[in-house]
Amino acid sequence: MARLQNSSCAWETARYVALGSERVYSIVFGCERPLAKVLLCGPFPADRLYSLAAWVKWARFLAKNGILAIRFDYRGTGESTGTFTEMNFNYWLEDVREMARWAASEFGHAPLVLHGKEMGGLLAQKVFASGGADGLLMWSPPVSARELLRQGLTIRLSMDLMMLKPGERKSAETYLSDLAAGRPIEVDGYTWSAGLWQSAADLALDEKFARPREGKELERPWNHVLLGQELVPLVKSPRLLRVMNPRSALVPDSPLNPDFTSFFQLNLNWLHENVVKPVVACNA
Amino acid sequence: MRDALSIEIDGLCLHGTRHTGPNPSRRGIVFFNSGAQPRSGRGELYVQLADKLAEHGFACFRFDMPGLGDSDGELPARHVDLYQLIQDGGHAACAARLTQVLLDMHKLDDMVLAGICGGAMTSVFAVPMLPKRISGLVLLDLLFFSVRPRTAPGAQEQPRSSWRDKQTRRLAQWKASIHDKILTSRWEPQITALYHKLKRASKAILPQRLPADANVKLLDVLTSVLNARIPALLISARPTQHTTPAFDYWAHLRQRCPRGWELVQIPGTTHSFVENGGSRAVLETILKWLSGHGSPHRGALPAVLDTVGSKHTSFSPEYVSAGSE
Repeated sequence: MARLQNSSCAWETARYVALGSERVYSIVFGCERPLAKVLLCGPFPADRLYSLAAWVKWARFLAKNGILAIRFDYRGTGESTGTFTEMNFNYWLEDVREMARWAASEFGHAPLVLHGKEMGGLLAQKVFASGGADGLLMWSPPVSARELLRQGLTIRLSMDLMMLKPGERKSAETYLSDLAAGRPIEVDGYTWSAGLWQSAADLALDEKFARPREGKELERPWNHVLLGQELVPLVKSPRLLRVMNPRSALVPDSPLNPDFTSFFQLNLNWLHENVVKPVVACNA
Repeated sequence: MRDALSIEIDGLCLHGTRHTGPNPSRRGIVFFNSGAQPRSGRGELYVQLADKLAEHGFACFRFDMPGLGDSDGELPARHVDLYQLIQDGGHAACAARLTQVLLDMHKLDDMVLAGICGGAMTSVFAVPMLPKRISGLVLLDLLFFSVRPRTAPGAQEQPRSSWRDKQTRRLAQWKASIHDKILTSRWEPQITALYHKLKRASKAILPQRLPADANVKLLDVLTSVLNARIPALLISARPTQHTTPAFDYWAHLRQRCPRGWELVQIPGTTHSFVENGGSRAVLETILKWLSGHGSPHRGALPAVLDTVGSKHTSFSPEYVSAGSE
């Protein structure tokens, strides 16, 4: 475990948390007397590549504004141990559940919010619906895990366009049939297993969370926010793939570090209004 | 075994990961970010490499440079700005300081610097800053041209005539239609092979000059590093079998420094080595090279390829140039 103080009141601690036979990598972006704790549930592993820096910037923004943020990598992905091929959505759902339990028990008694981006939004919604956490914030969650995989497959198809002749290319439907038949496929450096496809079958957003809007379930607030293309690289754009793989001297224009302050502030305000203030009022 | 590390460099909190194996030695390998990607690399390539190399006794480190991945710091506004910073050696000082800290903190004798693309550039530029502690370079798909924005500033100021635009568009359409026809023709392999033969022949006859967009600074530093006898392994991805590069940087490099480095080309994969068993090929190539250059237990890796397992590989690395000491 490593802990560094990065300003008078904020600090960062990176550590591994044991989960079953694997270890989950986490970083706590902390502050003194946090008003709330936010567990950041990241996107699908292949999408993490594009947005991690912006995601971490959001974590630091929260910590600087009195909200403790915890980022982690799902088992078999990023810095966490485990093999991607052996993992599936059920494991990652368990990761969110266990990390939420861990986050609730550590770092004081502040309310816990699950905040998921894309795939993380879907997983966080499931854990929230089963009673975990005091609030839920989702950024562009997919309608279902199957839909997420279908979208993810576009990278495989665009690679095929680049590397294979027309007669050799497969359609998305053929690839999905391969998966359903138990034949793994390679997508952007990850081996998608039949288990991954099967575990996606029953994983979909509950209907009441499916549209971008705010709500309250059992007095617990939730918010579904749709990320627009103006938030690249927090969201993936078709151009990002080319920009991040520059084998040509001419690099298309693509923002790397735009100013997200107003978007972050908007989300921070929602957390203050819907999670922090009611708890403070309740305690008073 | 992985450990989370956080180190303060120039007032910034840099986050990283250490990989150690059951039989650790006093030799290390540190990986630097490829472009804007986090330290895990695309398809977690760096993670896979570090895990395997740690099993073979190396202490492996992966760190996010300032602003990238988990590390603190401000990034430039656009991707191309970051690439230009890196290709000019902008990460080298930080990488060298970090390497020094890791060497001291973990009581290592020396370090191999490694990376893909921008990570390879950072490795090259960092060597002169700590020459005595670097035992080798592993450079994956190092690019020698300088990147620039597609919409260069001032490009709008010189509008071409509409007639010229029209002709250029016509020519491009004609070329594209010929290209499509060839692709679907049953003579495509022969035509493509002939095209590349002609291209190679013209290159052999016509004098070759360094292109205008060559990264001269990188070539100069790499030349001086190689001439200083720092062993280097260069692994290049070759997307298609018949592609002929506009300029043969490898031949150019061979002329400037004929010895001490090896070039391995991996056909059929991409710049990130994520296609067609590219990552496995990279791992096998690195292990093979390390067993001869700077293995923690020199000569103790006779079964390296068996350990990695080659039954799934669909590649065939080509040893294009094997410099000898």
